[in-house]
Amino acid sequence: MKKSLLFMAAAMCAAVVMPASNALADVNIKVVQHGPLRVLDPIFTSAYVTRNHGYMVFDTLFAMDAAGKPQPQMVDTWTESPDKLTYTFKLRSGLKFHDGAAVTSDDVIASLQRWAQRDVMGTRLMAVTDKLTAVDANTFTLQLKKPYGQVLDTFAKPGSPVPFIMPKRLADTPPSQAITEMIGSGPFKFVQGDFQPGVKASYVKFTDYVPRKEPASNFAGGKVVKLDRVDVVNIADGQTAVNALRNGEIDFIENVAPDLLEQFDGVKGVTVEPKSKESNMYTLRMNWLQPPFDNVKVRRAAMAALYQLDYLDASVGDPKRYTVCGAVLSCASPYKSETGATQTKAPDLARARQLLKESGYKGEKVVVLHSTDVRVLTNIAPITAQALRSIGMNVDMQAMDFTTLLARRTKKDPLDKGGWSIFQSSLTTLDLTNPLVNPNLDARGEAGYPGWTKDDTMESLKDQFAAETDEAKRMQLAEAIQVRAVDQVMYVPLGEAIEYKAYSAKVGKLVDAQLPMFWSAK
Amino acid sequence: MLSLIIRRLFAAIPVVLIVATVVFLLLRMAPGDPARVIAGDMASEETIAQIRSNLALDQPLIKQYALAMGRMLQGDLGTSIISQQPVSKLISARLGPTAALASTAMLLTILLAIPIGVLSAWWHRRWFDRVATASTILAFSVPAFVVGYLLILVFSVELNWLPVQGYTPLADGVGPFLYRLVLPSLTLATVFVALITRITRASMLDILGEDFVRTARAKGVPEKYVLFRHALRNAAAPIVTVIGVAITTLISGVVVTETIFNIPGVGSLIVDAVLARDYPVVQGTILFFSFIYVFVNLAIDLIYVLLDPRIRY
Repeated sequence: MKKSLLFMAAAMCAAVVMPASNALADVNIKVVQHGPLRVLDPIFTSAYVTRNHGYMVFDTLFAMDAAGKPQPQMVDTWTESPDKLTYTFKLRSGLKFHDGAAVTSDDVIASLQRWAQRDVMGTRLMAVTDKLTAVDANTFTLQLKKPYGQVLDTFAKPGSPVPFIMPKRLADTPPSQAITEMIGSGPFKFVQGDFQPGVKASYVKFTDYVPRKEPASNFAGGKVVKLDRVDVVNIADGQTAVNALRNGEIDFIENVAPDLLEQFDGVKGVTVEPKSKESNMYTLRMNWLQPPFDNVKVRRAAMAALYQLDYLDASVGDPKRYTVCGAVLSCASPYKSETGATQTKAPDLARARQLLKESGYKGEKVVVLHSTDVRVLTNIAPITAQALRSIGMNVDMQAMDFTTLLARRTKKDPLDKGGWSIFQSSLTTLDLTNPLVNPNLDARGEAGYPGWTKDDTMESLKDQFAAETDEAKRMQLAEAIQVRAVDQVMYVPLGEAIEYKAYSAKVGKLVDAQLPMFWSAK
Repeated sequence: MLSLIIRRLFAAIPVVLIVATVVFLLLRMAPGDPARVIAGDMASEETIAQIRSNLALDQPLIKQYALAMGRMLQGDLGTSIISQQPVSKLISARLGPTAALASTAMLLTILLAIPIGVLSAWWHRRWFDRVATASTILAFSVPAFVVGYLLILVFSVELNWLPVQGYTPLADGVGPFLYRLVLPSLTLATVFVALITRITRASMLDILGEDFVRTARAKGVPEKYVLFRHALRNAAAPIVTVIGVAITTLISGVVVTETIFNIPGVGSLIVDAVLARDYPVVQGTILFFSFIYVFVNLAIDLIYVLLDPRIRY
């Protein structure tokens, strides 16, 4: 105890005179992301801010280009056998990790195996994989039990967790344990000693990185780094971040709150632009285990009362900054379809009341979980509560912080024992565009995503989608998924908010990507 | 005096133990799950269960308590569930900015509040007193975040004289250090200047009405000696008490100022830890604050003795 106290006392004195977090230093750009980086391992957690960190430090075998097609990244060439059961991949020569070691097939296999234990697409791929074998240091094969149409899409998956490649010695760590040593083969090296969880993370150019020759395109193409250093600092208050960018103290804000965007009007040297092809979808999820939403007719009645514009106007405001969209795979998806969606038009409340009457609803309580500390969600639950009350539902809106909501929504109990009826989220469309990834289309019941939607037809459609190698047939299956999801009210898309980034002239021209990619910045 | 220090330190042990126990129980009773925060929104239940098991969060409460207390008694504040870094390292990394902000704000407070309070009492019901009284009411009434944003708007955004946010350590030079601390210190000091001005004024008014002050004046003692040597010294006890409370409040209550000015201090550490249910960090930080309270109170008691030799413990 005494030792600890002495340490504290010494630290108190030393800390005043020692360099700390936001000290001015010789940096190229200072970046503010959407949240604080605390956990470094992008496989251990699916937190979006850790995913962004992962793209700086690690590289991927394939990557999605601007057209949403998988393109080779660490892979040089690959072949697919005529029976579509064997894929052979050859890595680019000269790939190195930040500790100087060469990237080998063993590293790739260990990384994929660890990642697959945490990722829904990875799990699916491994379920149809017979063997993953290293042929030599640069070549490996994927032997399938049956043809699978999503191999390259799986390796190029851009959403959390991303199949990043790391050294085997790190990838051998169980996925339930976080890796804290950050050694990747990506375009930036993580400065381990400068890391302050929740405060600051720094990256320097990896001089041994060999970019591809193709121009950068979304996550794919040549990652040509022109910066020496990127400091990611956390600024919790959005207004402070805006002021800091206006004052030249930082260079980039990943997400500017809609109500603060106007503050950049007329400010010279600051560019404000929407994130490319990526937005955040508000989603509404009902609990299928408990009354009244265990009854599909009640779900349909509730959906009939909802109106996207109410949510978007309350949360975003400016119509230029949102998209009305009824596609369960989002309007960013190449498979988008809005068939059956009613919430994109003004609701017919008389019809909704009639549906509710026909459903046999007896006035059971509807508990709506209301997150009060996450800006994008604050205004969502009250809109839902009002809409459902307007058709005669007995709504109990319960306010809580988001961490409590995350725990609460896992409760499968009846409402009088802490259960719930509805929760709402804001999810990046990166996690929604593919039906195999979209958590709201998880129809495995109690084993699946909270809400516990159980629908064998949906699972069958997803299996067919995964196995299908013909793009036209995949489109048809995606349409069938949309129809089924709307009919059963798997979830209700509440509209898509377009997010805006802002950056100074010092950053230069960023690659047109779905996430902030700093390899093209100058 | 040595025996006072020893007695006070021993008396602090049960206080710290009670604080640690109450905090432990409150955190466990609060809804929320750190494993779920770590795993992220898209994680499966299996993943979350694995993480919970690795962190021993699935152990019985009594076992978790025994583990936490055992570590604490060995001087180990534990390891952050979220970042996997030692709590003592996290606190010490955040202490510099908070200590710098709190000390500059307190210095500013003392330099402004005590002279204003003394002069207000001396010029009781004259224009200076009325202006000071009105100003302190205003300073009490305006929340810190409004003061902070107004200062930023005027001095940073419009005039571009001072930075909006951030912290520069003293090691980088006194100039840059103070340059970044001016606005946050002013923001933080506003309410304390008001508080200590009011306390100083009230205490001085009481003392200035005492017989010994009248006697000193009758004997022809110059007014500055009456004010600062006789009256202020006798009025000091309540002022020192409030300053002591203010110091502890400053150390632990700088969250709003740290957030507005993006100062990576202990205040923001504890808020982040609470929101993420990072139990060891919350426990360690509150325990650390309890030590600060004990030491500041001890220091105040010692100062009483120095100010007034009649005081015995």
